Amino acid sequence: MAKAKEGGSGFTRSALFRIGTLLGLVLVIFAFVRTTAVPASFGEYGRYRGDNITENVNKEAGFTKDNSVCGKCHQAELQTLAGNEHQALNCESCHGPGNRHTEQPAAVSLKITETAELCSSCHAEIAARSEDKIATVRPFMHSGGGDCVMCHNPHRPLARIGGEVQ
Amino acid sequence: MKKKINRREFLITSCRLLATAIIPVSSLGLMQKASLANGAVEDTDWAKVWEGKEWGFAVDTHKCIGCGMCVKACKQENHVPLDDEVYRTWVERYIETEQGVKIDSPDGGRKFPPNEVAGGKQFFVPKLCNQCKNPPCVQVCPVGATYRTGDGVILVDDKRCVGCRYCIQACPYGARFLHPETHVADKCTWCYHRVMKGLNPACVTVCPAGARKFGNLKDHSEVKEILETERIRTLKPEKGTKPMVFYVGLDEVVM
Repeated sequence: MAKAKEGGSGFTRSALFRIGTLLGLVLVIFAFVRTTAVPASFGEYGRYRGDNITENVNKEAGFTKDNSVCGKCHQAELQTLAGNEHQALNCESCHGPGNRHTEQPAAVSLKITETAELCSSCHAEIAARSEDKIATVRPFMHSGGGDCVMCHNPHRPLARIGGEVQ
Repeated sequence: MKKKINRREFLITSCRLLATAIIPVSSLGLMQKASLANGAVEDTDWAKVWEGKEWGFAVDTHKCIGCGMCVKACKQENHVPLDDEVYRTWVERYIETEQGVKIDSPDGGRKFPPNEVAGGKQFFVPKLCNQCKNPPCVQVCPVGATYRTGDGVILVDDKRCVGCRYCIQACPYGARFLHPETHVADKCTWCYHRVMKGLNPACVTVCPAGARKFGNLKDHSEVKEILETERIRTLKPEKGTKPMVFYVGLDEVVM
């Protein structure tokens, strides 16, 4: 009788030990996976990696703030631009992103070599493009395929031939 | 009497010892992570930066001339290959004819050919991410790689994204795409990296027609003024996404 009782409790004990060990192992594995698989900053602000905000914000800007940045060196061009049809334009709309140029003016050139296509993106005649808002032409009929700068100075667009006379 | 330990007992005991030793160490590690998360890990506390900010975007479709400067500038600013047919922002042309509405956007709106149809109602509509207040793209991401910041911009974690394209499917505006070089989801961020530096988004900066406006809705900004004075519409309001790009003069046919 006593022997049977002893044996029974021994079995219960070993079963409990086994379950306990198993539970412990599960906890250990969970803790291990949780610490290695989930990035440190995950959940800092929401269900995402908080560090990613800084990564996104730290991306380099290609375009500068506005024309005042360009005007620091290119005052003459800005003065030419003042008061004419193109004065509201941003330099970088035509010249492209200028941040690199401000850092290395000699190495990174923003010179425009071809204008027919560039000017056409705004000034080509398309039915959806209202003539009330912008002067449009049929590029080939207008210049015969020639570059716009042959006659127009983009910084003073309506002054004829080289842009010196107006 | 000395107890003899057999191999089985030895293994069980050592396993038990190991487990009891590892549990407190691991939980300590977890607790450390938690306390780091509550404190300032990085030098910036973004919650504070976001305070008093809610970005909004206004597009005046009357002003857009369909030049595509925004499309090009966006690609240059955000390193999206110019030759690939994926766009963070693009310009659509709507031509209303008797046969129905024709919509096109050749090269994202950079190369509109002079169209054969001359008459009828024709106009341009710039499109971009609407940075929805209730974004389906964020909801479906299985790995938490996309999120809406406290000031209202939806960003993508390109290190965490696995490129499953659920978000691309979920967006009702077609604003997302798989980046051809990084092979992770990419989308318009309203140039969040510029905005946080005090600059306007690149498309707003270069728009020669002033059709795109960006600003803080919780401040006296141009966008707030437009919202208060103009009659505005958002895209697909029936989807319940609560878009934050507001259109002035948006025609009924625009989808």
